[in-house]
Amino acid sequence: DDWTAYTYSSVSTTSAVKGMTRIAERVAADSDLEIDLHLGKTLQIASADITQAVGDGIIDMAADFFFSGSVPLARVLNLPMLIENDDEWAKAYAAMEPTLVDAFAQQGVVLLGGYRYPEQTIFTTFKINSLADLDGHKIRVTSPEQGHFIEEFGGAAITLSGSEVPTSLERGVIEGVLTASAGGAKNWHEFLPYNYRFSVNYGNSMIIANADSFNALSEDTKATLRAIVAEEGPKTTAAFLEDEEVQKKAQSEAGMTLVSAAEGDASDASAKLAPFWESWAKENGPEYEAALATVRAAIGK
Amino acid sequence: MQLDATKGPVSAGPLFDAVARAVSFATGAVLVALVTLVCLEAFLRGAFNYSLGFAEELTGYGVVFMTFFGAALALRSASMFQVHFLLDSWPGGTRRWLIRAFALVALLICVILAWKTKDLTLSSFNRGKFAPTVLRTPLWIPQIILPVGFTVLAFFLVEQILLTFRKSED
Amino acid sequence: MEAILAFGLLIGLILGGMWVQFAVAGAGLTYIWLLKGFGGFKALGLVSWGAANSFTLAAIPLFVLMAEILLGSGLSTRLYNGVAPFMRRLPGGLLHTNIAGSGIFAAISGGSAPTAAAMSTVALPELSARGYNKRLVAGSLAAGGTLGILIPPSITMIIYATFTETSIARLFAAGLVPGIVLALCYMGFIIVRVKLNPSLAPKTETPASMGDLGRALLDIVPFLMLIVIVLGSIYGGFATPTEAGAVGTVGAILIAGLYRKLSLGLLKDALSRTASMSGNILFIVFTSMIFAYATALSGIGEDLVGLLENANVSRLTFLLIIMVVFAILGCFMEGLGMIAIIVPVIFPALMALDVDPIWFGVFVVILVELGQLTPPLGVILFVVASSSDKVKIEDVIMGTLPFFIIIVSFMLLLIAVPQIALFLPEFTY
Ligand code: NA
Ligand code: NA
Repeated sequence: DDWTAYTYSSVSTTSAVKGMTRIAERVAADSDLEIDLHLGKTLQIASADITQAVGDGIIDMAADFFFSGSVPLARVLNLPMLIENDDEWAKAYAAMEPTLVDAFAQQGVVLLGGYRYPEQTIFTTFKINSLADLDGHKIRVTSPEQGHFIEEFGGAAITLSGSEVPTSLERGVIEGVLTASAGGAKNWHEFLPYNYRFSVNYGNSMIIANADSFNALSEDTKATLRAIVAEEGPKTTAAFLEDEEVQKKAQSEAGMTLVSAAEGDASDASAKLAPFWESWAKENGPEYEAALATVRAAIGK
Repeated sequence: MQLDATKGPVSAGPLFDAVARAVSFATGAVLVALVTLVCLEAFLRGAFNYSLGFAEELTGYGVVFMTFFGAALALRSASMFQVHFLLDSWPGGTRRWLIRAFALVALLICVILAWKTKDLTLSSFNRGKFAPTVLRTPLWIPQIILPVGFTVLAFFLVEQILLTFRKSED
Repeated sequence: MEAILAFGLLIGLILGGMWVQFAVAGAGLTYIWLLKGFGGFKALGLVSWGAANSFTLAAIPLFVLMAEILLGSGLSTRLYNGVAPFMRRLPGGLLHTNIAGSGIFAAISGGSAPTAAAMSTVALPELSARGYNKRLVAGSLAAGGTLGILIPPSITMIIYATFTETSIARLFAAGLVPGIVLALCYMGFIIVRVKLNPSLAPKTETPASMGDLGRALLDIVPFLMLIVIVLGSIYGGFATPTEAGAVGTVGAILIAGLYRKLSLGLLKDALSRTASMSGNILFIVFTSMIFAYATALSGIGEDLVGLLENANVSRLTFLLIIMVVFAILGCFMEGLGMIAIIVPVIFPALMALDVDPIWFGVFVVILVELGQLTPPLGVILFVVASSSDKVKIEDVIMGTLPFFIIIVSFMLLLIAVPQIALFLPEFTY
């Protein structure tokens, strides 16, 4: 078999692409499946359309970060302040996995595994020592849920096309972004002198395959593919965590001020956001309420 | 809204004129909406620290609309890009046949693209896919612009073919 | 093999006289069919959606609308009346305003197509009416338009930086001096060209009186107001480069109103012309993305780069071959597609050869500019041609040729003296 694979990321040196490349190479070595990996933006398929592209069989396999329009249920893992550390993530993901497998299956997609970015923290052009300092400042957000977080602390949640972020930071159109040091901040760090190390939420990517393509594989190949993804997903997450430390150090040396989260900010923010989780789930329907309950039970919140 | 009178689109009948007027009006309205929306977003953000949250999303849909409906107007006003020097060197009869062939191929392309984008719209509808923004727009709604746009382009290509017959009668 | 067939079909259809957009789409569909059979067509829906649904492309209709309002209200005629007396002594006269104007526009917009579209809409009718050689006018506008991605802000540089994880701020700084030097080279060429053949530009013998110059200055005022509004909105942190188009449109309407030139008929006309012109441009961008999808699917970019890497050549030869690869692909692809296909693949090899990534970014941006100027698929050529029905694509191509040679020579200079790009970022950071 010969598969076309795609990833939203266009940076060949990032842990995400390195991980996908390892999967393609190992699968080719250990089975009769050839995976031809295309980097983000080369195929003119928008990142937000990757789940659909895999479900419709346009591509056979993908790393899918922007799945929230197709499998919105999975957003429960990205809600601000719900999951606050690695340990909670592991528990929450394990509890949610069967539900996620079902949700992706409804899209004609097999969920093989995934990896996670380091926590998204707050990068600003202004001095920041606590969440209260967000008051009155324009922060770029990438989801309505993040927007809610920023507004909760008096900030203005701004949506802006990614290609306009650097110029906008430089000119003061926006004054901050939410991202991981090993993610967006890697590109924008010189416009961002301050980093408030407060973990707002995590972002994760699913590794998925088209159901028909997958079912057409031999049992051996299926098992090999699953096993390799199961190994490389966590390895990618680990590589990201390492890279996060490297980037933090590099950004600090380049003059960025890293500020540790102020005492009380986390518990304060959790308390403020907890009603939002519930209203978010309620707005979306009973499945979402069940998913939220599952996650809260798993992490004991 | 009239098309540029100096270029004087040659018409194959009142039905084509009516559709062109509707398309021209719609593209004008979308342009006005684009300017208003983008300015409003910049103004609210700059003056009131407020973002609509959907300006980027709707602007993208507006661009999709302008791409196909604007192209339909360009085709009709004979300003769509063409390299003329070889085409003009043929005798009239051959040239008409060439234009007819080109229009037929273009028509086929439009039909294929209209068909495939119709499939996309249905796929998005069946999946219940939406834009993960504050508007939560069901994506089949903006995506329907694509098959409709290709259909309008195809419609005006039919007019181009009809016109080649009319010219040969003259 | 498939590539040769597809490229051959593309050239044949365009030269044969088919509408360029449908020639590109037809060749693209054929290319997909050759690679994947009819099954490959199922990607067309999502690819179409991904190619057309773009916020940054909105800059094209927005800036064109602004230019159409300036043109329709007579404010642009007034501007040229105002500038003309000051340019009397300079060989080439108002042709230099094309370059200078493009430079100013480049500092506003993030792309070349909006820059060229806005400048051409205003300048092509004005300068043709004054008796300037239309090929030289078209060439200077196409060349000026390419400054759009070299002078910051630049979407192309931001994309390159994202792919390679290089510094956007340094890239912006690195593009500025080459942009200005290139603009001066264009102006130098215009002077030489008009000195050699004075019939290319109209000549006025009578010197301007002080009174003339004073009145002329007043004529420039409305345009200066617009520049202040638009540049101010970007550098004041009010609007993004794409949004500046909408701010400029509203500014143009206000100024036209201030000078009592505004009417409903003017607005209707501007809207109608903008819809047709921007639809024409957006549709060619759209179809070239379909072609780019097929090219990406075929892996020909990777193949070319693979050949290059295995050739085991010196740094200079490597860079020269990259120029050739970009030149070949540039004939058939739009710029961002080329960056997406080539840059991530060759980047490791570049690092091994000790090529400065910032310098290479400037190099690639200029290569992308070149691609936008080469037939059969050169977006800027079409943009300039679309702004007036009196100018054919053939004229634009012929007019652009000398500027093309200037750009290539400039790239060789950039290889020899990398400091042209690097001294400013090294000085500032
Ligand atoms: Na620019
Ligand atoms: Na080209």
